[in-house]
Amino acid sequence: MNVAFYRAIKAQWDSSTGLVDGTNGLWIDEAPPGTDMPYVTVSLISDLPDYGMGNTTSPMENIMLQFSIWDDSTTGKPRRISSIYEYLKECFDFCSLNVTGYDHIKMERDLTQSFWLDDIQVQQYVVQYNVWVQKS
Amino acid sequence: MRSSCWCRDTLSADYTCQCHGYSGGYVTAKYVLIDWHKPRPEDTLSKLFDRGLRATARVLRNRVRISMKLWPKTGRMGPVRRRSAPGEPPAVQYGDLYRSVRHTRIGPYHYRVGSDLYYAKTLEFDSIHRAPSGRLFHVAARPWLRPALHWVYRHVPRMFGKAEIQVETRLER
Repeated sequence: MNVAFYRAIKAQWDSSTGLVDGTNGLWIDEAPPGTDMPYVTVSLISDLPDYGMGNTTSPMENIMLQFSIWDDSTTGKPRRISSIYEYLKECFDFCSLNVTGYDHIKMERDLTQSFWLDDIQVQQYVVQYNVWVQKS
Repeated sequence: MRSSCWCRDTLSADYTCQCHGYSGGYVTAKYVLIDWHKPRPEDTLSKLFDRGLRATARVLRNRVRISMKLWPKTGRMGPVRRRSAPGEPPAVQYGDLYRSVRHTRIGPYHYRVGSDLYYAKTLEFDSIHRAPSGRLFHVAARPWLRPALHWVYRHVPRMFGKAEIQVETRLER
């Protein structure tokens, strides 16, 4: 499930030219040391099956997913990170993911938080999504 | 005949209590006695909701602690126990974060579950640090609150369902 899910996320990412051209890639959990910013990391926070109505054969999966956008640019208006965030929203808000073996139901943005890491002068945007998929 | 409303407003036979619209005109002495001991519905509801929320906050705190201590970790060996891998809840090494996760009531129907440790946020979301060599390195998230919150979100309606049933049975008495 995880592999198929990450593949679907990557395929959706590749469909956005703004994200592909404007960042140095999408990484799972953490970027390799020395990767130039801006880049985006994606982590799976939680995955809960829902056996509603006694449905044990094809339960609905509720996945909590987090994107983190990292940028060390402190100049420019609007900031570079804001435009990446806009591209991310455009790409993933209510998108139709193609998860192999699963029917995609919905992907909605749940939370956005911005952090400024003062000691290293890096801006972080955390964007959290809730995804519902069901085994086909 | 004089009787009393739940708000302890003394009622005359032809008087309607302004706060509850409770008429004392047609109640018997027996009913008054029963009503006197019966809790006010709004009190019962608010107490039960508050109790339900407190229970939910406690469940969330316990779930967080269980995820830190009991779930197996697959990272490298740490100073005391095995460390967590990226994506897993943090492992307990010295127990600072474990002990700092608390639930507190900050107002009516308002509970807060969390930690005031400076690195709790760093673990929950991912972060970047500077190595002594000056190089930046990425630290992946070890979410400890959101998986528990996710689980509690799913089960809170059930908990409140129980609370509602309690409310109903209490009011039926």
